[in-house]
Amino acid sequence: MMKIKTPKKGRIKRELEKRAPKLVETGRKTLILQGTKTSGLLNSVLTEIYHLKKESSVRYTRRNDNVRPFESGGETSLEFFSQKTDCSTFVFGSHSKKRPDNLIIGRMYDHHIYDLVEVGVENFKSMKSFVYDKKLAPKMGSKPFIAFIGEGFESVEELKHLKEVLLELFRGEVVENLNLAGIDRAYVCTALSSNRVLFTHCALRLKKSGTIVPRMELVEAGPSMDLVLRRHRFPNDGLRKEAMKTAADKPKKKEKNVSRDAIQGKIGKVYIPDQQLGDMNLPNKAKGVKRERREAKMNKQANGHASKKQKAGSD
Amino acid sequence: METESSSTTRLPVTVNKPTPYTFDLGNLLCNDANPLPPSTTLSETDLSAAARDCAQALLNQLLSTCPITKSDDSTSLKLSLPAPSTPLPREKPVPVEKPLTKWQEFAKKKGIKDKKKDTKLVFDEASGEWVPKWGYKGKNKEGENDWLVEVDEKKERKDGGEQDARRESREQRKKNVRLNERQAKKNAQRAVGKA
Repeated sequence: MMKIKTPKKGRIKRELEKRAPKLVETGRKTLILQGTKTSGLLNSVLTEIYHLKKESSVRYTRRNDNVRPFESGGETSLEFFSQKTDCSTFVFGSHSKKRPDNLIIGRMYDHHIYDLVEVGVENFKSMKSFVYDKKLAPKMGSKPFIAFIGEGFESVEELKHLKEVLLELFRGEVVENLNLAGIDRAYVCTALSSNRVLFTHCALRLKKSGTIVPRMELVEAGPSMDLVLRRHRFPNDGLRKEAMKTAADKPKKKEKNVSRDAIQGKIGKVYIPDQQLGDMNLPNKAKGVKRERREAKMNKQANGHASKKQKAGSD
Repeated sequence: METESSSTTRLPVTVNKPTPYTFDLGNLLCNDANPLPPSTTLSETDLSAAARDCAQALLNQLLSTCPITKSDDSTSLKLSLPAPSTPLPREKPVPVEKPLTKWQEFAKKKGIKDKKKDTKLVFDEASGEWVPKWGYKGKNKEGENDWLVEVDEKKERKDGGEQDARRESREQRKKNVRLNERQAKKNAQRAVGKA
């Protein structure tokens, strides 16, 4: 027998509702964690990524022995963490002789690994090493500008994939309205060659230009690093097809009997169907209302005399 | 947009590139497919200039295509962004609608509407107070703790033996709970079978 578990407390119910699949999704959370060995450099990379995404990420600081996203069996624990924290992207750092300062960025679909990109970090410059006017410092959680520069992002398959993953990682909340004063940061990714991407984070400075459009200046705010492409895993086609379903895919129901008028606004037509008195559900069917009885009575009336006569005859 | 500011000190706000940029305004994304200078001669200034141009072009595009509204207290300006156009995968599958329970199916067929359950309290005529329908001191436990209960002689004669109205009402209540649990389980299984 299957056991049914229902939340007993409102708090748990609300939490589960937050995590339930939605037709229009609100945004991914990111899990930032590391493997058995990390380097000092990688630690600061992970911390700074966490700083950039503080409002929507979870940072695990312990060593994780059995997380190896690319190997079979190495994803179990990661998938469990994803379930536990409700994170659907992850950034995993590890350091080995073969792959020094290694960063694996991946996405999950339904708490299973969807795709993976592995990059090596080189020429890392920390946030602290950049000196600039702190008045310009980007505010936490502000919606960033994202720029992908270089033809590689259009032509090389791996770079295209990296672009998509980086966009997903850094784009922030999806919003309908944006306060113009809140535009204060930009992520710039430049394809230096077919396997090397320069990633920088800049603060935006808007200067007066004499026109309504201000003159944009970028002030590097850090971190900045070179990402060297290593291993890759693209999503398989079936999963991809399933994951790409959107709310727009569902055919929208045609709105009937509603028209819009410039003066009167929204106008609705209401049709009232004929009242079917016979088919109506009555709260309590009295004996007299019951159909069989009525019909029987009518039949009786119609050939009442005949039957009575018969009866009388038999007597 | 102005092409060039009249004063020489002011820097231009327009960007001209051989390959036009592509934008995804919902994500504030700008793609620049122009080739960079070869890596041997590539300098920091080239990179920062390309980045600046990108950001400027994105801002220009935003201000020219998105409707701008003033906030109610007119202290800030608000941009209305379009929906993101870059296709990105979902993080969880599309939600499936919960199938109807057996009762809901029946009620739908019969046109039975849900009773509005706005409060847990019912009026108790005997005591003239509002008491909870169920739970602690609930109305459904009425008669279970009475110190004196009238014996239903008719029933006793029929069943042949002693009967206890207090115990019976409690047993009936417990039975209803079990029945409800069984039905809920059955409905859940039907739901799994359908999904």
